[in-house]
Amino acid sequence: MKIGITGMAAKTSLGNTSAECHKALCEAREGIGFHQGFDGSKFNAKRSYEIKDRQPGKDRPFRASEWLRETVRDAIADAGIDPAASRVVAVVGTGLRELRSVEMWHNDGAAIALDKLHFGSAVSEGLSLGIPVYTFCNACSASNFALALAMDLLAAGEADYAIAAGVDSITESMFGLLDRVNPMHPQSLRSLNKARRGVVMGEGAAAVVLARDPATAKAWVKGVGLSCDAYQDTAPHQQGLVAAMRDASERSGVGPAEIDMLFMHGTGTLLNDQVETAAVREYFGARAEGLRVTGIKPAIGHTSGASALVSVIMAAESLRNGMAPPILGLEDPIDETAGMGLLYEPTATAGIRNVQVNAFGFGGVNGVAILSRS
Amino acid sequence: MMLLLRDWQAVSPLGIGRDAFASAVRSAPEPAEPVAASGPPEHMRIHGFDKKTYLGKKGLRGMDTLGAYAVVASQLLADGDREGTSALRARTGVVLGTGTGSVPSHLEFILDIRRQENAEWINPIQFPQTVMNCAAGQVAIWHGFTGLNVTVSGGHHSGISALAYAANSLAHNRADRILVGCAEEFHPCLAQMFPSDSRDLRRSHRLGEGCFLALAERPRPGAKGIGVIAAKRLSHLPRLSPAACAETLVREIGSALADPAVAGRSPEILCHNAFSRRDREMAEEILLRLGAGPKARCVDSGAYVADCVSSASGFQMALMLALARGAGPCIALTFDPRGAAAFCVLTREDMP
Repeated sequence: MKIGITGMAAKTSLGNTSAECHKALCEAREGIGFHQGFDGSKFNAKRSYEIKDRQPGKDRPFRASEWLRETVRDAIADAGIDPAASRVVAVVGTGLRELRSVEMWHNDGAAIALDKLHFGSAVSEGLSLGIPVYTFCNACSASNFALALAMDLLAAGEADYAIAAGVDSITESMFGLLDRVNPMHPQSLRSLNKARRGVVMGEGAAAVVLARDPATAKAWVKGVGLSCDAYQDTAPHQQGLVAAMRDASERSGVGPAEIDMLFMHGTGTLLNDQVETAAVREYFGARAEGLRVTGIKPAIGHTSGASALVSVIMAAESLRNGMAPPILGLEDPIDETAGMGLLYEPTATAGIRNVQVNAFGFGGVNGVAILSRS
Repeated sequence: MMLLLRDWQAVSPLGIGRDAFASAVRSAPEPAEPVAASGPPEHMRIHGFDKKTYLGKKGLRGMDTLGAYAVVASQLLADGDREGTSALRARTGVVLGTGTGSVPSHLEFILDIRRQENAEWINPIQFPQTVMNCAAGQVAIWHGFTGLNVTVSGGHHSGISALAYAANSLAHNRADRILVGCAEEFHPCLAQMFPSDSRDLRRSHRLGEGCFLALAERPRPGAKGIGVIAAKRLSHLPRLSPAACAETLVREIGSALADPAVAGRSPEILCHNAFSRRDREMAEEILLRLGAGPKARCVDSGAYVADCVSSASGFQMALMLALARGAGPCIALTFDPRGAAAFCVLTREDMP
């Protein structure tokens, strides 16, 4: 049985469609700007990668739900299916859910409702159709967990089509926390650079429609591996990252020697990039030399729970469009990447068969997806 | 898909641990039909809870109340798990349903940001607690469980979503054993987040808190447990009329009861969390239409533990495990404030 992506949609600070985002990434554009969503006067960091859909200083609740509705609807349109005529299930990955709405309710009295905070109603309302919706709150790897369950549900015959989605908007509390723990207050996210200063938040939403043995697919999802560090609340652990890569390899039947390109998680923090690179070296061994490596967070920020699936979709676009985006702003890479085929420029993907997409999150939750060319 | 329950534990307003919960429930008088409260609601809190009593003094730094409920429940399961060797840790997962993580922790963090003149003064130790998957991560760290670790969020349906996800994960060999359940920490503001058309609920609704956790495995020939669960998430159906909703539920639950594991036995208990007379009457009608015998009964979980929101389904499971005596299947039917419903079916094996 093969699981194929038959429809996909993405929305980030760089564009409102998957194609727009990919084009902008390959043009080495950056979606950063001065943060507009809330009063930033008490924060040292002033910039973020927001989706620009509001007036400066005028926030509104349930933006994440709006984006989720749009991307799920667009992905279904892209797949050309009628969800009312099929058995459809949706799985949503998120790190922050609608916590920004909770903050606005708490701070400013915005109207919210408990049952609107976990995206089930957003998906159903977007489709005008009641379907089962699972929501995973698995931090920054959440949408690879969503992808894994969507695949499992299809494999079990529980649905004809499974929608995997990811979404997150920036919360004041997370922005404040990062401001507190980033001593150098980054003005841009710069993965794998020696001069990286840490995470800068972004906003995004992504959705794919998965089908069992479709006649054609935009890309095939070969497998998703999952693991837990059981190590520390916030710090990554090399063994846990490698365990997720090995699980992905076992499930997909695609070993490290067959991976041609890697989309790094690449959060741009001092520790995370170092540990992820070490895990890549341990897992790939000699294959790490020359392995083409890219990452999209320097261009769109860390979109938290959406980040894994945005990367998956950009990897699929790279296979389809023949061009992979570079690591934006890569100037002086960390020593641990020596010998790896880091992408400084947009790079042709002819000859690329299999792509690995890494995603790791707070709580030590790791998800690694492997895609292949149609 | 099915789950084999090996054991369960509860941290609840009725006591800490499975036996305390079961004893309190079994000795409680038959609850009367609830009447509208005239004054402020009497919430059901876990009073006098001290995590050090159950976990010792080490490793508790940064563990908030929600995390402590989950870790204590998991430790109680571990204490009773004779097969729980270290070799199993790599293949043991955690699937926890929560609503908003720890609401008190998150709101306190927001307040802290608002209070401080500059972000430099925010207390970073609070941060991990505001991440929604913190409690599930703390259970994994406490025991060294490196199997999959997932936090499921679905409001009142969080627990049933967690059960369904755990069954799926075991079926796809993502773990050999899973600690599955749900947790909620009390905060009075939770009722204020109920839908704006539920003004009576906002004013007078009784809230509870706590954690239900079960040790689950995939069913296999010869495996012994205390029960088998078939978990089912229903679609969001809030716009259906009560009659149409009841019709759908009878059909869906009837389909689950047709499974060979339970076929031919009439239901013994239907445990619900009715928000209204409409929900209550619907639950009774459903039980009747499912062919329940004269000894079958509806149990309102709210009468025992109040509305535990994200852990509502879990405490419905606990109530059924504590109260069931016969061989008939039990049904947990979980409503949310808008009337959307989810259910799971429990078939008992040997009660501990």
